[in-house]
Amino acid sequence: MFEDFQADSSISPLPLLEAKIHQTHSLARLLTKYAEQLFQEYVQLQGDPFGRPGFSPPRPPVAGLSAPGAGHAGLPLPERLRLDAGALAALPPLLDAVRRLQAELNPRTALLRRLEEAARRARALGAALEAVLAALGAEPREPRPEPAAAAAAAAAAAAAAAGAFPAKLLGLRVCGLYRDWVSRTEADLGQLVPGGPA
Amino acid sequence: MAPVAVFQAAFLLAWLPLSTYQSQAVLSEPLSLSVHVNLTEQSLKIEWSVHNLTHPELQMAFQIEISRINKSNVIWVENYTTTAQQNQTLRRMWKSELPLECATHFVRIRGKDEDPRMLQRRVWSSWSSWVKAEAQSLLGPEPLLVFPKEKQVEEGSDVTLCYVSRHPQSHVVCKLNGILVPGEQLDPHVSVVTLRSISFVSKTGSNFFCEEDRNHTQPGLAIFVTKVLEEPKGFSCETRDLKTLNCTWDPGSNIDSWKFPCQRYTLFESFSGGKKSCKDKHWCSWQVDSQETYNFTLQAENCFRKRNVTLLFQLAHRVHPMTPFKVALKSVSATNAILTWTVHPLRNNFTLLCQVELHSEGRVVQHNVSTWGNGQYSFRGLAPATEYTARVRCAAAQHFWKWSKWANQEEFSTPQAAPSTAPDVWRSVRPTLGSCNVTLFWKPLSRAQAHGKIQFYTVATERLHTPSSSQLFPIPAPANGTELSLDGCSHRIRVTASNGAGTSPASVMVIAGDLGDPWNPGNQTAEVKEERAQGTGDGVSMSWKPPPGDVLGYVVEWCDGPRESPCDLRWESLGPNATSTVIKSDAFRPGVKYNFRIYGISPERMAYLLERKTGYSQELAPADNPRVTVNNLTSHSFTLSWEDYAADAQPGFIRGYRVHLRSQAEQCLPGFTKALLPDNTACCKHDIDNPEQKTFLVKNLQPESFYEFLVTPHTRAGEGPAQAFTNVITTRDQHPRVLIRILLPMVFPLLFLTILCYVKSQWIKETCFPDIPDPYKSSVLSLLKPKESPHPSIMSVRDCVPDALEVVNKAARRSLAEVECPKHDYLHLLPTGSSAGPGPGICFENLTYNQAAPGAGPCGPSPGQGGLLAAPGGLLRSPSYVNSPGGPPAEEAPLNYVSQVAPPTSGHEDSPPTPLLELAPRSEYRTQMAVPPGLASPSPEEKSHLCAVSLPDAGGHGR
Repeated sequence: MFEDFQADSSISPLPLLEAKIHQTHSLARLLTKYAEQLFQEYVQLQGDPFGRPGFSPPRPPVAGLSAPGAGHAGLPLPERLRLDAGALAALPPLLDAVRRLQAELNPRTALLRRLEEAARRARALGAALEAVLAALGAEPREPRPEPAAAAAAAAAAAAAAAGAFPAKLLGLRVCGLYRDWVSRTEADLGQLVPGGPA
Repeated sequence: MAPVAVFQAAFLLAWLPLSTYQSQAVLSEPLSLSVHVNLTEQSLKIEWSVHNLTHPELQMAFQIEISRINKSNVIWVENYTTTAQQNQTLRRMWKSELPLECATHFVRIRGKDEDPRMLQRRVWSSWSSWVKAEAQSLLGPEPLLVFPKEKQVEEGSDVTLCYVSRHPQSHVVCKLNGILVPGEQLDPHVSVVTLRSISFVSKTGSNFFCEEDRNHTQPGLAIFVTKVLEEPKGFSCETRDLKTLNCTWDPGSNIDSWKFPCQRYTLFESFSGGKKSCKDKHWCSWQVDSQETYNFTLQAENCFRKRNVTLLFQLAHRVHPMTPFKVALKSVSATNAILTWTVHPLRNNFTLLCQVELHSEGRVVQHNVSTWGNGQYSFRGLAPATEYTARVRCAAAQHFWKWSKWANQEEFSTPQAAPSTAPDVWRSVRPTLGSCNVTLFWKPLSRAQAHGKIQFYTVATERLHTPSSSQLFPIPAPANGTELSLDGCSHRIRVTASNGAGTSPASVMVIAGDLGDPWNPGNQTAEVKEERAQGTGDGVSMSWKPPPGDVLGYVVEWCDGPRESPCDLRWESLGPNATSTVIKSDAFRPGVKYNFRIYGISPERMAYLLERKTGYSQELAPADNPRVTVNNLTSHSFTLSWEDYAADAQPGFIRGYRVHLRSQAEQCLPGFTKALLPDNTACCKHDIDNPEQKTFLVKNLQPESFYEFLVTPHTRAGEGPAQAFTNVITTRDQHPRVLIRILLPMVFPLLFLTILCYVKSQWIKETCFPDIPDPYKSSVLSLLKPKESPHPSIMSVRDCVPDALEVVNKAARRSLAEVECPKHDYLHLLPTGSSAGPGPGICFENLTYNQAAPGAGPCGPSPGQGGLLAAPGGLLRSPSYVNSPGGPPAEEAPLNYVSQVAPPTSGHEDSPPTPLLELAPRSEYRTQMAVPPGLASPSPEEKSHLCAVSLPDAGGHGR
């Protein structure tokens, strides 16, 4: 379907849609930079060994949100965008859960504000991506904010119950997912931007 | 007997239990022992109940044993005494150091009656059954687990952790903050890690995690380390309004973990029994009532310990008033002002001490005022046209504790007033034809003198002898001088300064170019000699002699620049009692010479030059050394000269010179002393203390020697630079040539005279002092001539007849001859013409026997001598009568007769007489006979062997 849209767009240009895609892509690119900063600040505050390059704990799925798969790039672009939108919808409650956990471990730090901003930006990017998908005529993603929020809350509660170290690991995982999905979204949107990678 | 024995045994068996029951209260084992595992607190909750108590309440003791892993491994025994009630559930809590998830624990208990009402012996009951407390069954399916889930400890304490691995063969590595920590295996699945004296790392906790090589899981936990609680420092309480006490303290470096903040502070007051939990860790407030004395205890507390500090004080002694307000100024005049303020009300009649501070131009003046209500203070003696800043603060007057904060400062300015002081004026006068060019200089008045902004200066001139010819010259500020061309040089000049409020007193001076020195009539400026002034580093010190008459003051004038630069005239006015001063100027530079003129101001306000001074504010060492020329170089001296050295151009007064001399000699020349140069090389030096002396004679030198010299000047600040030495080589010595030139012409004539004398010596000798007087030549003959005696005392040979010979021992004579005779150790009766050597005897030549050769002496070396002696050395030789063996017959040669009457003598007059010689037996005696001339010399053999001397005794021979 999206390939058809690309063909159509070449025949009849839609400046508004292009502007929307371009704007969303710019937002994704900006959030990619912010997500990397958030990840670095997070690992710095958690203490050793989180800041060490060799520290790579297992990355189990978090609240039904997995990392972009290896085959993500091989999927059709609309499907990839839908996956991106789904991940961006699942991330804000997870980021909020991490913020609450970090409020105990690192209160009165700028990390809490950055986590809050990250959740808000993820929502914004997700909404913008949904709008692009709608403009492109793609099937909308099934809205499920409540299950995502509940899953995130459950994950946070489990981590908190397991102790501070698992809570730190959960935050590391969520921040990593946020960075990966925003970056992935930027790359996927880049294929829609005129002059971007095919 | 047997039934009795059986009865006794049965009785004992029956009595013993009874007696035991009566003396011991045997408690049945505690029942309903249960153990609950609390993993959050890592503790075991032990509960039990006691039944069958003899009383409703009974004092009892219990003993609890806890084993780990297996029942025999008892790790804890606790005795617990309490009052138990029937069917009451008793509880104890035991905290395990080792996480309970890592090991199974077993608990049992026993008890005994401890009630004093019971008289029986107290015996422990039997142990209860072991109750197992196992948490491992609660573990999840993870392959590697770390326990506890998290930990809160105090810094410096030990922490015990453990991990459980499902695979005994797997390799597990654990790290704390990235540092490897070893584990101790508790069983095949469980290992224990003990962290000794753990340190605080961060508030977010230290991360401990383990890795298993089999499945790469990384379970871990965060250890929250809390700093050891410190005692609060600086605990203090005060009140600002006598209604509330504020207590503050410094909690120190008490760092709580963020996850488990448990630090809190509580305030206790002992007199009232009050208590207050403080919301802040730095301060706490306390409501004041009628209580005057307080005894506070501040308790700091965290999860691990408590700390207390106390403070006892009177409330009135801890009053810290609030900041005054409504500060205002009123009635501000040129010199006065009033400051008012309001204070916050305290109790009635509570006196405050308020401090008023006045700032102006960097100066601060403080005044203290006591007040119990609104306060005020009057400033007096303020400077006109000056900006001031006033502020106030207060404290308790009776018991000072602390000043309040300063109230907002109030700024105000006093109005202007007329200048209080006449300007300090000086002048420069240049007489010209018929007029006088006068340049006036004045210094701006200081703020304290001006009393406002000076708007203009007024210069009024009037001729001395015609006061009505006054002229006014208004000069707008900020000019500091003016130039006037006056008609003649006799004027009175007045200078005033004016501001918006008035005019200053006038500065008056009189210029009288044709008037002389009132104190020294006829004294002229050129006659005032220039003297030296002493530098002080930052100025020039000088003194002068006061003139004989009255003076109004003195003025020291100088140019604020080097001599060569245009004069930037400066002056300093001094009072009439001053006879010395130190002139300072920011323009003074070290090493620059300045000239000063000291004027006296006469009562007629005329200035007269008293003295001239020159000097440096700071002398420097000479910048360069003189160029020295070498004059009058000789072999022993040379003269150094540096006449063209400009001593006045140096950065200091030249005090003398130093001559450095180096040579190969180790000793210094006279007048020189040894010295070390800055490069630590040795040399000799001579100091010249007279700066006018610019030549120096270096003497006592060695000819043709190498010398090095250096002349350096020196000032008070030091010596000239250590430059390279100059070489000089002394000339050759001239005395030998002079001597040769003088002596050589003298030697040749002397030598000639000597030779001449030597050649004529025989003649002179014979003439003046012959050894053997010749009777015929004797001057006696001339005395006898007048008597004309026919037979003078000369013996005639014809009267002598030889008739006797005496032979002496030859051998004895030989030894003597060897000593006495050098070569010709024999005597010749008749000398030969050519080889007549000196003989030891005296030969008399009888001229009557030698008619053929009258001129040839028998001893003389040459026939031409014609004397009696053959040689000077042979004059004393004894005559010999020995003939040569090979000699010709006497009748064949002319004969010479040798007399034998002459006594033998030695060669020297002082020598002892030679003993008489005897002829050796081998000696051949030959009669005295005539020997032909020329045959008397002995043969060579005789020359070598014969030195026989026959010296007949005078008496014997004479007979």
